[in-house]
Amino acid sequence: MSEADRSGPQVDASETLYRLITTPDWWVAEERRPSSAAFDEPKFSVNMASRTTVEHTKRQLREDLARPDGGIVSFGCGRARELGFDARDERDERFPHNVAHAHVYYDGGRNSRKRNARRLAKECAIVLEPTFEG
Amino acid sequence: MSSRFQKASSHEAGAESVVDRELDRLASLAPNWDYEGAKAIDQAIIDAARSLMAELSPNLARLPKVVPMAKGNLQFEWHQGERSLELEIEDPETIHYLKWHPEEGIEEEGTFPLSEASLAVELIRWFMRGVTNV
Repeated sequence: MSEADRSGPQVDASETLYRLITTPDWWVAEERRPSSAAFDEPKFSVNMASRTTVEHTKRQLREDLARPDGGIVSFGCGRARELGFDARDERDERFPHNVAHAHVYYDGGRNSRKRNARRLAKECAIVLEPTFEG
Repeated sequence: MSSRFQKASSHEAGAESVVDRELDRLASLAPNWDYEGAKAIDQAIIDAARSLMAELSPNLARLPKVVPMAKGNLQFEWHQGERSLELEIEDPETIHYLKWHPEEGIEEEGTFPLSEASLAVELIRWFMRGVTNV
């Protein structure tokens, strides 16, 4: 995605980002980690940890997204940027009250996007393990 | 059902059936299935995935996870510890693969035409060799 697609300022490299795991398709249960598919997108949503709490993000899963069985993983903004994932401080049009929201844009080339998504998935820490059934 | 599968063993036919059901499930996903605005899975991608599976079925000693992607496509995933294989149906004619085992220095990514299913077979054999050696 081009720079023109981004309206918000870059998120500070020291920020911790929360990625919500909203579907069992994006959770590798036997390995207890997210699938790279959760990051293999031109643009995806995260929360900035400094502007929210784990409890608030859990409530977001339950109430805004109706996914009480979903999970939360975290990763460092600076490390993600090294891998080509640029986080921008931008609101989600559907949930404008969430001031912690940021969009992450993938800047790397097509020939490295799967590797970088896989690396990011591997480096995530579990904040809240999903409880999807099946 | 293709004539290729009619000739397959009961195990292989079972594998085809399981993956087919998963592809049916993905085909029925409504837009926003990830609660973040994901596209519905493109029917042409589903058809291409079925075509690929018809070619791969005799080599499927281990069933893949069938994973939808927010862009409206899908990928097949195999995981065993640090060893992973991803075959993404990037568009109806193209497979984008990730061959991953960092402990062996393997972080390979590339694309090939869907019509060259023999390359996918080689990748699955690579994955299975590692699994049987574990």
